[in-house]
Amino acid sequence: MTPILETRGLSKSFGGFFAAADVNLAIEPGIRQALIGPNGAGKTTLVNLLTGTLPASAGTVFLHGQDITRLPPQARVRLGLSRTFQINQLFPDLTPLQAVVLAINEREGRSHRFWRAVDAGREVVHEAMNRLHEFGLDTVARERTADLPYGRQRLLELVLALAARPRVLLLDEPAAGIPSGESGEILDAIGRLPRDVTILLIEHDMDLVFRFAERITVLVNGRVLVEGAPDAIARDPEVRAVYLGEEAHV
Amino acid sequence: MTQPMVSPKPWWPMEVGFFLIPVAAFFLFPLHLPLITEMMILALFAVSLDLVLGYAGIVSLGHAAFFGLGAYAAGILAQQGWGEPLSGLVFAGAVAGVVGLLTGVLVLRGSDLTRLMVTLGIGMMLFEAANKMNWLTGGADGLQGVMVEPLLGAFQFDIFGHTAFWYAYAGLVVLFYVARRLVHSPFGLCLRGIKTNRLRMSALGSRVNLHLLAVYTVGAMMAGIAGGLLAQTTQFVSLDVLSFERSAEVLLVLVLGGPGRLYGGIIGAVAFTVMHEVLSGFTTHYWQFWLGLVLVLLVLFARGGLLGLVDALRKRAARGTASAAAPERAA
Repeated sequence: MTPILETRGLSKSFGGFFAAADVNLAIEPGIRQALIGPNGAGKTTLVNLLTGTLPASAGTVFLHGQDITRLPPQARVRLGLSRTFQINQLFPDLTPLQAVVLAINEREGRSHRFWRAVDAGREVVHEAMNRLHEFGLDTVARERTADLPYGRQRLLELVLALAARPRVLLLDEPAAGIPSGESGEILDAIGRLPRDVTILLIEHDMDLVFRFAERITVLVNGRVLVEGAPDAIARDPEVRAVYLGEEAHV
Repeated sequence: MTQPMVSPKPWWPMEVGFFLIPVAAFFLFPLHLPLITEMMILALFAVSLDLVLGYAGIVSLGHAAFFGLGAYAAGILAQQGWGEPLSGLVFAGAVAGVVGLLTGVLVLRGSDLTRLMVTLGIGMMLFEAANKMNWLTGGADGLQGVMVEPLLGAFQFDIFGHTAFWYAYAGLVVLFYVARRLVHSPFGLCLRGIKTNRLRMSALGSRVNLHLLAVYTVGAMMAGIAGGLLAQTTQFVSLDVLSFERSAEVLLVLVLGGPGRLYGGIIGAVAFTVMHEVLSGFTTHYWQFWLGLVLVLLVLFARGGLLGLVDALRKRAARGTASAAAPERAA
């Protein structure tokens, strides 16, 4: 099967330091893949290279076979590559409903319409309510986002990324900042994400990774150390040595 | 389930009432019509800045550039023999809009400080250019000989300022209506999104720069039309339409009224003009001292200007009645 997201020789150097070096990824459509690695392994750099926030020093990124290496972030989103942020990037003063309507308007290329009222887009408002309902946010749809509990805001982050109708979704530490006792809601939500969306999960919480991932890529010092099925990764002596080993001894 | 509203429900009756106030003023203060006309033009100018600053978050210290361009465009057109006012206004808006589009590209990039300096710099350049181009603008003496034809071919601009009053009133109402539709549209929501979280907007696939450029151009056009109205109703253009003081004044007016709510520009223009009149009545030269004091107090203690103050008081009153009612319910 042709990979939906692929990188070939993707590199990023800052001065002489390679934050990403010759990274080759091939992510199959519909799969739940995790990208793990110790701090400083280059996970964030790789995400920024994929989304276009950072320009690549060398190498190529393909989305569904199309070379997107030179495209700006917003163009990649419109081609179906969406992301969530490790730190919430929301609209504190808007309501969740307004935010999701905003996201749908962008997807549908309606955001330049300046004469008709937002509310006139009935089907947009309808879709937004449905999307909020799916994640249990319909009851707070008209409250100020800033007034919502953190866990709810985390869910909204996910709804916004999904409203772009992505084919590939990058989840950057989706459970970050949520107390472990309250993370159930977000874990359920990730488990229920539709199968036609390919997911690349960037995470260092091993519970989360081994619960969802069907394939795991281990990144160390900007390079892919190993890639494989979860049980193979868990047994890999090299991985245990540089990464899991640290935790196993704690 | 109730109808899912995205934007707050429009409060039409109150808004209609608000726009009837100038009509009442026409009959109540027949001797102050030129002053009220100028106030309405200032209000329109402030509303144009509100689109740019209040909704899109683009700070500017040079918004008078577009006001002045519009004033000179309309004034020079009439001076050169094309005195029909409505087409003159369209011309004023177009000239300001084109310059807004061109300079907007420079304003897009960079931080707030960069934007302040770029807008300030462009304003200074236009001022000096107008000063230097004596042959076209009349330089420091101002543009003389502006001859405006009767409005719609029927209403002569009279010395009492009746026609000028209704002309400016119509301009304010029509353009306010346009601005109001714009801020409640998907485009308006998108601007609010960009203002609060630009990073998220581009992560949603938004062409952020294109939208900012669009609103900057619209704001410039609207400011140009305000300038055109001033030139036509006073039949004169002086250099100060392009001055830094005018840029600072409109910013002050907007902050005074409350940015990001459209009505803030109008309320601010009224408050500013009234304060000017009253305060300069007993301290001719030093009235700006009191203006400065009010500004400092307002910005420190009532962020969101006069309208923000009203909102805060209303919320406090609502909370007061709610907490007063709560024990009854519990009992």
